[in-house]
Amino acid sequence: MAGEYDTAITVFSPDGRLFQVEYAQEAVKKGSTAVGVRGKNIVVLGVEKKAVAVLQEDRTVRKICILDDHVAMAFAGLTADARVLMHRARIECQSHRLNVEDPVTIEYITRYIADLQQKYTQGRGRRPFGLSTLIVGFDYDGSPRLYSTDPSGTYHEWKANAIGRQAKTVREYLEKSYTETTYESNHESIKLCIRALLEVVQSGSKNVEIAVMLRHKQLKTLSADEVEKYIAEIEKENEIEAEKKKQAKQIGSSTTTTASSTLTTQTSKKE
Amino acid sequence: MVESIIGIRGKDFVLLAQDANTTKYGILNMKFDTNRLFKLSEHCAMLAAGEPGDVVQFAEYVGKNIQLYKMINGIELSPYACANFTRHEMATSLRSRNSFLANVIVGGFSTNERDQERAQLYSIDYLGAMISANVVAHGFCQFFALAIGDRLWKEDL
Repeated sequence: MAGEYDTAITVFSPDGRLFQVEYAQEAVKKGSTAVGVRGKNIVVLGVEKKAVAVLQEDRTVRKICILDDHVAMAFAGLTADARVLMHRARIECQSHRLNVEDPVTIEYITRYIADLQQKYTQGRGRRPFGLSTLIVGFDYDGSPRLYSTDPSGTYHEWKANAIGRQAKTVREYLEKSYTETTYESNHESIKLCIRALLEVVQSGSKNVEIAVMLRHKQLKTLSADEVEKYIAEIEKENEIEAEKKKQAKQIGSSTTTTASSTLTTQTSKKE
Repeated sequence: MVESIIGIRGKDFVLLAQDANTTKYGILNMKFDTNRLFKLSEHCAMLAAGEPGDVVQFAEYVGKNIQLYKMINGIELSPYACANFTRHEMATSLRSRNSFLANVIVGGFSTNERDQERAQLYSIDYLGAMISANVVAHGFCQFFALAIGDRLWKEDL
């Protein structure tokens, strides 16, 4: 059924689908995972760092990039497509500053990128961009923002989101774990981002890259040592959790005996 | 011609100065907060004087393009590169529909350690001629500033 309706993307299928867009979304699912978390005073981006070939220069993989002093972007999907989109977005950021003397709001630049992605789903036989993006930053009124776009050109605002490989698993983890504490604390936001990534990535600072942006500050990539510290903290917390669970199980199996012993002590005290 | 801008280069610094923050129209003072100094990047700035609209338009255009270069390529352009870019824009626009009546001084400290001269100062006039010198000036003050510079500028200011 798909055969006839997926060559020219301007064509809808009989059941109302754009197959090229859906195939682009499949391409995104093959890309390495990216996670974004928004706190009260911080925005965090984390990406999975794929292992590089032995002879390849291990420079930081450019999956997190700045679009302007106050906007950063991570993507999942075709790297080359991302480069093109990034270039256009950077020009737009400066153009906006030139014309209206104000830095872009995160929503504005997200909408610009989403509009670009949509344009390529509607005409002249060009294929859509095969990538989803996570766009973070602070508006000039100081509010932190996290937005996400996808190949169809839709965009939404998120408190925390994941894109790319196994995004669904990571998103479910984020839904379970994102709390008021995460929102309030910078430290917790960064930790949650790393935790979420570690759900699908092997543990170790060489497999993740974390970038953090504070209000009125530039994007800062955490060093390997800093990431290791967070990972150590996470692993300790996991151990404590595991211990608690083990103890809970043990207590559960021996409640009857402990109950009787407390009763006996109470009666003896009375006497 | 009425607005004056001066640039002086020292061993490891560049000094950029503008005259009063006023824009005159004949005998009237139109504006009291005129800023002729425009930041191009963290270590480079531009002074511009001439037609008020052209000054702001041109300076901001150059400034945003320098920022764009930084975003795309991740490095800051040296004052030498900024000045050459400015000159190019000025010269291109001269023989087109929209030319800028703005005299410009570009100066800064290069962040590139391999540059021999780190403090860089350039003057570009509205016809797109660029020179590098220790003392540069535009406006009426240039008659005085350049003469004083000739006499009194020395190597280790």
